[in-house]
Amino acid sequence: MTIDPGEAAASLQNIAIVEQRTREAVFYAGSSAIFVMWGLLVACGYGLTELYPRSAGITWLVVTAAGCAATALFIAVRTRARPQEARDWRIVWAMVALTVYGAAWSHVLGPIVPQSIHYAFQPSLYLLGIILAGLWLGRVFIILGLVGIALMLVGYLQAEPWLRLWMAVVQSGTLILGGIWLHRSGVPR
Amino acid sequence: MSGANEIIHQAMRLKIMAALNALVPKTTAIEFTRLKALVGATDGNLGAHLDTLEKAGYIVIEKRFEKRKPQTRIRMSPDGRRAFVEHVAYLREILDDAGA
Repeated sequence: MTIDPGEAAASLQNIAIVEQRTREAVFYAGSSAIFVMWGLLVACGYGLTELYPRSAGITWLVVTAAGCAATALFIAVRTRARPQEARDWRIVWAMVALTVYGAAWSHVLGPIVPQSIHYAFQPSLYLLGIILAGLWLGRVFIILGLVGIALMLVGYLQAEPWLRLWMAVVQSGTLILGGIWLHRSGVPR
Repeated sequence: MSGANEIIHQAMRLKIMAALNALVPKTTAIEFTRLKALVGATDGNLGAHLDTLEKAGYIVIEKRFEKRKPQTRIRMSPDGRRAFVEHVAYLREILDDAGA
């Protein structure tokens, strides 16, 4: 059997494409639980804010800290089983950076900007992070981020009290349904 | 230079081996339906190529029941991994020689 250079190049390209697709699918499945967990936390955050509006600041601080800690725990468990996956930790650091950046600006701009902007600002930062991560990790992340931002922009046309309900449903729904979609698109490890 | 592996070099079997080789950890088994989606094959086509690879000792096929549903899972054997790595090295050598 003889293989000419053109055929060899085509075969290597096919291998690279399938390997990339497989790595993305493995990552999708690994991320699905994290997305669902964040979706549930966001739903809890909106629910608690509705019940205790005066404690909204501390509620979201606790929700965000719990989400970051749970994400780190997910990744720590996974990395222990597969030490070669150092990439996962960079995602946690990126999440922490976006959280601190968003929280700092929310604190500075708090008294100035309308409340409705606060509902959209921090979540849109995370969704932007998901879109950017998708450039490396796979197009499903890009689609999820774009859909989430588009739905939030639609919600911006709503007036209170529907704005809060819309944001709660859209933000938690995008994350939960996105997590389920990732699970279905992925290859479980 | 080691020779071409005729079993692995067939286009669909090359994709199957590439997908199995990219799993982490390498001993992970993958469901038939997921593998089918990754390599873009039909049920019958994938089944036939898996049969060829299994007979060559390059993959291991496990059949079991999950929630009363039959499930087929495939993983690469150590021999299969060795053969795949050697074949990829051979393809690279061809390109290197052509460029020299």
